[in-house]
Amino acid sequence: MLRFQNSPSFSALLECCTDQTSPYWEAGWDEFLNRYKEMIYKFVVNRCFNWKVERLGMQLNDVVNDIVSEVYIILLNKLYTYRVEEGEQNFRYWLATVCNRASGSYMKRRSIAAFIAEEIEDVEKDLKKTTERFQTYIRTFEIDTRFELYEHLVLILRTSGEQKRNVERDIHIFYLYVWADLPKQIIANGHPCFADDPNINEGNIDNVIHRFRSFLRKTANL
Amino acid sequence: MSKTDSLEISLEQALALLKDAQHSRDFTWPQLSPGAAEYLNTLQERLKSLQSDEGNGNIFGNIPSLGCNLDKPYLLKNVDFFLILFLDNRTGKDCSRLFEHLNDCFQCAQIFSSTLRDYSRAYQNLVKPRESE
Ligand SMILES: [Zn+2]
Repeated sequence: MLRFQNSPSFSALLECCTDQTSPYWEAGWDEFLNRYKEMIYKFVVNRCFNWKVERLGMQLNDVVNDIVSEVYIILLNKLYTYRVEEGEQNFRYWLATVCNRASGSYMKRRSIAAFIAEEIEDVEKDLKKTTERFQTYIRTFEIDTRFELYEHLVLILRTSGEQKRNVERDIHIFYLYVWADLPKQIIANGHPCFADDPNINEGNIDNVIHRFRSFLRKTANL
Repeated sequence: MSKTDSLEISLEQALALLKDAQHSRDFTWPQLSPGAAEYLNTLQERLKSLQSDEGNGNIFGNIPSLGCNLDKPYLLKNVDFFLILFLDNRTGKDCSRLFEHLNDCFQCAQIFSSTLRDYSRAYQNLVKPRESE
């Protein structure tokens, strides 16, 4: 591995890091981490505080290290997309965005994983327990974070392969039961769209929740 | 959510009382204060006018196709919408557009779920004591 004689300029550094054939590629990444590692950690830690990591029963350090590893992978693959001529100051904003997105994406995956992880023999008890835990967890979020998690959940459930018409109805049922904590009886009998619908009763609501939960489990690769 | 001007009954309680009145066909409320009864009459008149209005279908048709502006969710204090949704008993209510919007719009989803919860509780409180008599 070739070493730098002098500290490289910002643009020279990015050039080395984005050209794997460069003899300075490894030295470039060493220098890159020297300069930006602390900043990356700071961005990620800040974001993890918003997501109330401890609520997921995880250690902040473990989560931060996991996310930072993901940030490194993103940088390896995407650093070339940053336009060097925009300068180093803008690069810090770009880096902050990369860290925020990686943290958000990680925490959304973990939030949903936390909801589906529990497996208890008694299906009814299992559903009740995980639903309660999920509700306690989301209540601790700021409104913006809830918004983000909701969008993410809807986005995933829309890919579940159900017919479009039914999938929207079922996501709505999932939201009412799992997130908004409405009793099945209210959803089945009090909801004006379902009151006369023979397809929606308390048993069907259970089916919807279990189907979506298995789907989430599959997509999370747990 | 929204209360009457006199702060006596909420929209959800009013919807439950009107639903109950539809079942019993008794649209008088001697147990309520004149202000609250007046509010229910106003809502009942409003429902009739919405039902006779050719644009009634627009209550659903006007639901935004994507998420709402942050400061102005479509369902916020939308009395007309909830009157038609809870009290218009004509068949053929197509809720698919509503479901899609609620899935796209977290704010409206929250308003909807809290309205449904409060309405259902108010309705149960009206019906349950009579059932146990
Ligand atoms: Zn909305």
